[in-house]
Amino acid sequence: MVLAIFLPILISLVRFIPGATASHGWSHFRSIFIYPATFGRHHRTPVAGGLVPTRGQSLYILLISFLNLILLVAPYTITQPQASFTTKSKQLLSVIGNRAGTMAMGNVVVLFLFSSRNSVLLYLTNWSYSTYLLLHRWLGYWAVLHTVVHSAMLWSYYVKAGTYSAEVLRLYWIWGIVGTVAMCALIPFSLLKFRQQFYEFFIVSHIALSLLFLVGYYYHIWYVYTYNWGYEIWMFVAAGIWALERLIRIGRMIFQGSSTAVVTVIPDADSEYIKLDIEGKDLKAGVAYLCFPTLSWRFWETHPFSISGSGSGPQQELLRTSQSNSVSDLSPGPERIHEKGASVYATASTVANGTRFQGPNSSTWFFARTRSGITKALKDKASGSDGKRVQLRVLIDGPYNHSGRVHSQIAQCSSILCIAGGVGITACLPFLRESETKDIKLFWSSRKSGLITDLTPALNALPSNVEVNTLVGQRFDLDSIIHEGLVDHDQDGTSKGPLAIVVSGPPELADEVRLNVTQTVRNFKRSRPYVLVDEAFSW
Amino acid sequence: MVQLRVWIFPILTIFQLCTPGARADGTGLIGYGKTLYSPTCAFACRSVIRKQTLACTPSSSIENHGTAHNPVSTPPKCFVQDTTFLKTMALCIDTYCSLSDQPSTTLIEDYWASHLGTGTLGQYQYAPVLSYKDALAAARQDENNARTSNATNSTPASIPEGLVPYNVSSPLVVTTGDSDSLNTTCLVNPVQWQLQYNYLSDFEINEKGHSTMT
Repeated sequence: MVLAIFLPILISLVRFIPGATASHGWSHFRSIFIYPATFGRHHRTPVAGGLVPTRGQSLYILLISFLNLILLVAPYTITQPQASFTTKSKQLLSVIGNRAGTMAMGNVVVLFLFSSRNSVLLYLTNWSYSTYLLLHRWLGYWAVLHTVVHSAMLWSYYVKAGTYSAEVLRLYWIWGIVGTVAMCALIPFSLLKFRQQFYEFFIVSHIALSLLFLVGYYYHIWYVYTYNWGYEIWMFVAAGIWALERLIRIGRMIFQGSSTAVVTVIPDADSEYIKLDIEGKDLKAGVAYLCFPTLSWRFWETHPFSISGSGSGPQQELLRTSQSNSVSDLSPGPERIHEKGASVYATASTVANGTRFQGPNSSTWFFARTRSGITKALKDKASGSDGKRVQLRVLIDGPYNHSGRVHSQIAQCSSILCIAGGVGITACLPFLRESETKDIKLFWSSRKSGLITDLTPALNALPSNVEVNTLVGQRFDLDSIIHEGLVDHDQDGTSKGPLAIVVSGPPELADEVRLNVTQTVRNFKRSRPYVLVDEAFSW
Repeated sequence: MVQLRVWIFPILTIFQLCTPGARADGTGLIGYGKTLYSPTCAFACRSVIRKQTLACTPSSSIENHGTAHNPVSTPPKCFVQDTTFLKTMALCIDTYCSLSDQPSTTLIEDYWASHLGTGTLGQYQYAPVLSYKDALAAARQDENNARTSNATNSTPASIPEGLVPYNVSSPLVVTTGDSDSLNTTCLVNPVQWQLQYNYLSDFEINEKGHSTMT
């Protein structure tokens, strides 16, 4: 358990080794052993109803699984004959069964930590929250396995010992059954298919069953040992992590206070995208969990949205132009023209409502693709109201940096290559504003022109060192973009520093870039050192 | 694995504040602040004779003062007041602990003060009427008396295969435990003691293993 927590910290320390990011050897190593999908071509796109970890993630999973298995079957001290266990097989049944019980709780403590938005590991390591959630699931499999082994072996032991009929009547045994059943029930409700289709039900059942498991475990211990032997500590640590996490979330919401969000359906995009403006907030980057208490009866729900930037709302609307296809290397747009903003917006978006933005308040904006669940509810609310926009009360839990501590690595890179698909652009924008000295290229393709139209002002406002390429309804030639970024640089005779490749978009795009990048580096010995950042948010 | 101690330290501190009675066995996880059977040799002594009937054991009590799997009908108060039990315990501890764990006198005194009444978690509220030193001296006196009266001690029970008990002898009666009455100072049978010792020792080592391996 200790290893499970400290290993990510230890491995992440590699990023502080001077020159590691710029090292060709380390780059090649990662292209073979860390970044690619363990098998096949897909990491974000589900394969046979599950997600394939990257090779780096698999190495961690393998090590943890190896330890979980080895430490379950060894080491033990067996001295026969002795007073209580009349045979060696009975003693082994009991002792391995007990080890499984304790190890289940060790896994539970770590997986509670890994599931936390506010996990201290996100600040200490460069592993992303998505990675921790993936590992959370694998630790979960082991916790379930150990729980089942614990239950089965002790059941079998007491049958052999002849006291099972007495045991099963005891309260501790009954609560043990409650815990085991709750733990096992978590699995079907957490399958990828289930999470995708019934996310809201998944999250509620997940919390309810997890708490039921902890309560079951607590009484399982209480009715046989009270607090005599410290077994309850595991439960208190796990519950403590969970409670602390919830408290911090609430604390962050209170700190941010209540705001008003303006939800707009983006025009010319078949109602597929919505935009959220949260007035009076100045969040720069990362992920914020938004809670719309007035949207539905499930007032407690929070949902992650990528912050695409902040500034003054009207100003960016003013710059709405007819450009939609190829915007190349534009100079920064004029700043701070607020007066005419509202009226210009009205003409451009075929919406007549001139009383919205008042004064030069800064606001934070988000873009989201409408799917099922919350985004659909927001879209329906907005399109049902006058002018395809609606004002809602919003509570903000955030901003979070869920990409891990990647910024120190990006800081060592001399160039950034951003590849964005659709609404994935939002997570890219903060990277594009990162530096005015780096050589930054953005390739953004979107199926709908409306989204690009709406974001053009934001793109125009980027520093002049950012080269912007956009496409509507087409795909970029990733081969040549990545080849150019990683391989061709030597031809102009100058040797550049490492390249940061940031990909943000649908799973198919992220997987294609991942595959293409790792294969390119493996095929070309003299390719440039790089860092790959997959900004997609998945659970 | 060592970091675990650092990691759970704040939690332990909170627990220490909440559970002042558990000092004898420590606080925390077994092997990390908590001991299960310390010293094992003394726990093994008590395990052999805990089910024997003492003079003050209620004859028709259904109350269980032991665990579900090892019911004990003698209440804690009775254990610490019964001088025969105390003398038998003192002799057993002196005989076997010096051969096995060799615990410090302080540890034995702490065990004596907290664990004679209760088998498992120690409680200082059940203070024995005799100190360990006095009980041992009285037991040795009984031994001398038995020697002069030329009593013969019974031969040890048959030794299970694979068990190597200590070679100890005493002019006193040798007890194998069970639920026989304990009305004179006895020597605990080395076979029974070794069986209990093996069990308790294995159990604690493996419990420590559970904490460490997790």
